[in-house]
Amino acid sequence: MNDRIRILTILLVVGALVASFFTSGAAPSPQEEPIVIRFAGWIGMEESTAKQFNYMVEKFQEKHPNVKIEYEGIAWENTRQQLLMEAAAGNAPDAAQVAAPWIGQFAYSGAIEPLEEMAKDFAADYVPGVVESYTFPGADGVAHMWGLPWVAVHDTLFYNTALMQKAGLDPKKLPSTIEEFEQVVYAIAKLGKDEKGNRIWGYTTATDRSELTANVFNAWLFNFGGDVLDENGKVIINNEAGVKALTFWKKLVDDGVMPAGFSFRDQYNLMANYQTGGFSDGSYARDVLRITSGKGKEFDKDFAVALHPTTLPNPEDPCQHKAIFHHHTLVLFKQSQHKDMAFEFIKFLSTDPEITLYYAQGSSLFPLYKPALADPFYSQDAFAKTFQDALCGAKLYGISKTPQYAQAVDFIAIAVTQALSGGDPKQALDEAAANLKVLYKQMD
Amino acid sequence: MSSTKSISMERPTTAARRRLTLTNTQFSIMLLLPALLTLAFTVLYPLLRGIYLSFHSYSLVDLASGIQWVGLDNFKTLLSSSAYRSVWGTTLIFVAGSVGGQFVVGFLTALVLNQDLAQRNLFRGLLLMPWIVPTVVAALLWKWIFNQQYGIFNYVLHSLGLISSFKAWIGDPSLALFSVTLANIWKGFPFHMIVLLAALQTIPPDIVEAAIIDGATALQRFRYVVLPYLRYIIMIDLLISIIWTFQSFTTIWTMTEGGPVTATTTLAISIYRTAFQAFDIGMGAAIGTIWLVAMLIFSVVFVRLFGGTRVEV
Repeated sequence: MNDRIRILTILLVVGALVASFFTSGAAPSPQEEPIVIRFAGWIGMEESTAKQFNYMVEKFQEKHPNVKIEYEGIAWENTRQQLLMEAAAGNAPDAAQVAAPWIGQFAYSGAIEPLEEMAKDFAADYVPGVVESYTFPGADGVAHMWGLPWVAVHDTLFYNTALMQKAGLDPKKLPSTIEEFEQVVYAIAKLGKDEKGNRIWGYTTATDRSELTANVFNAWLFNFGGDVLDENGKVIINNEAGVKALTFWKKLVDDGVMPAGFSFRDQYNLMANYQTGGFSDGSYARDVLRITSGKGKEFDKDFAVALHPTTLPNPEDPCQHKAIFHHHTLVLFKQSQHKDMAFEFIKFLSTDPEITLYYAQGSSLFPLYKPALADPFYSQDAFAKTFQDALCGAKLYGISKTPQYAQAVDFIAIAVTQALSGGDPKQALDEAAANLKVLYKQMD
Repeated sequence: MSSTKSISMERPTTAARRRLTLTNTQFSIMLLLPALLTLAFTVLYPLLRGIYLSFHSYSLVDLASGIQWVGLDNFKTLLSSSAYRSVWGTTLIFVAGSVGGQFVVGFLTALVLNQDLAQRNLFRGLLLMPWIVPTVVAALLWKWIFNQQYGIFNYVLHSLGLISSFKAWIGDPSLALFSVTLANIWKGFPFHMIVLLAALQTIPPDIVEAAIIDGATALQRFRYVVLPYLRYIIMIDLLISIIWTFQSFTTIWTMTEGGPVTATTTLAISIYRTAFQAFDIGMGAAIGTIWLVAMLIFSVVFVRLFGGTRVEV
């Protein structure tokens, strides 16, 4: 090869690399560029909510023509690790959608901004208990408000009324207590198989080793009077109430009423195909069922929702029907270069009556901001009303306010799967309690 | 071409010659430099960083504390943990089952496809399908095959009278490891098949013919001609496959997430859960470092044991 060509080759390669490096970073002057707010979450990635999110962004940008909302889609199950990794790498978005149970991990990470000052004019207008649940000490030991409540996600029981009728039950008489629940699910399970030979279960929920298994089980735990941690943070998952709750689940599995080892998403297929009598889920499940069944709103006539069955006294009081809440929550990252505008955007998503109504009507996700809830839609729609009634019994469980949440839910899910696959509930919970005590440094 | 031969611009000045003259070695290094730098940033740096982090406490849910030196604490915690030892046990069973199954099925199909069959190329193409299918697609496919409610696996076994009731193949701790191993065997056997088939085709036919003339049976030909000829290929094939299977994540995570209970929690799943779900990066890195050292030792021992002296044929 000619020597000159060799040297020219090197110069060209190096020149091209240098040029590409600098041109990729080239930017027009700040005066020409709009404020870009990067918002991360799963809302734009799911079929049932993507359209609503695009509309909300469009409306916000109309109000703020100098702002561009840049969406970063993250699947629900990857949200925590992706956001925390981005924060650790100094590349966090301005704001993000997270689930309420993760709030402690974000608070302790030091990645998110306390919001009590920015939200002081309207924080009192959210439904009772939610903002209080988001206010606890983070890494600095001082209590802060860590997120803006967006939409409500808390479990009620979805019953397959078509199967109830088939089993000779009155579909208008939905269970309120655990005993009534047992009667319904056992009667449905007795149907045996459908015309295609598929097994019909009485009740289905997540029973694999997953966060959702732990969360659904915890709702049952509350309704048996138990909890994972008491009000002082002491581990009590293996107390009498805990053992009763897990023994109840185990009995459902052993009696062939509930399947073990199913993932959370299995419940939608079973419900849409009339192969389960019910499942526990948040209000968004209505839209998931409409999509999964392929019947759209027509499928609504085949199911009904009721408050979580309870063993607690005074079951006529809606607040005695406990649920764990996973409310979608909006957080602001410390690394944001445009905190005021990013906060304006999440405030808009959380509180604007028109936007929240549009979101609720399109996705069955209801706001937590009282002035927005004043719209008659929320009291006239029976489905929405049940979820409003269930709010007073919903709570954020203690482990959600700790940085050890992920390990804690894994210990709970392991205990549940262990008991449901032949293990002893007491022993499984004792092991979970021992692990949780190490995790929370409560060794005797 | 000599590596020390100089190249220069035409009619250079003395000073310019000093600046621009390159040996072929220097020229080669300069051309390789972008690739080497890329490798250093994408492989060497993460590797060294991982080892560095294994001696530190670093949690993503406590960014304010940053990275703190803890010496051997992470390793001591791991080595004294029965859960960690159980993860190694699960990993070894999964690797042995997967690689063993893949190798046997792969070798048998390679032997069959090496025969003069009708439609041989069609079968070769079809049998490669599992290898071509993306791992996550294959894992989802097997998840459905094993589904307790709708899965065809239960349906077939039940129809044949082999099971009395539908089993939770991936939901039952006593069956889950078997199920993910079976899925992994299906996914991985074509790799062995194609490697061994290629190797089988390099065996000179006259050697096999000579063995036949000498009266060797098919089994003897396999034992004394084919196997010695394939020895090095088999060694490399198994070594690569073992290392890959140790790293296998997608199949298990998609099918079981390491559950039920901890029945399918292998090292790869354990690292993911520790580093990216519990956000304990230091501990996750320590699991990875022990794994790295174990694999290095294993590779050296494996090659020494099975490498031996090359057989000249």
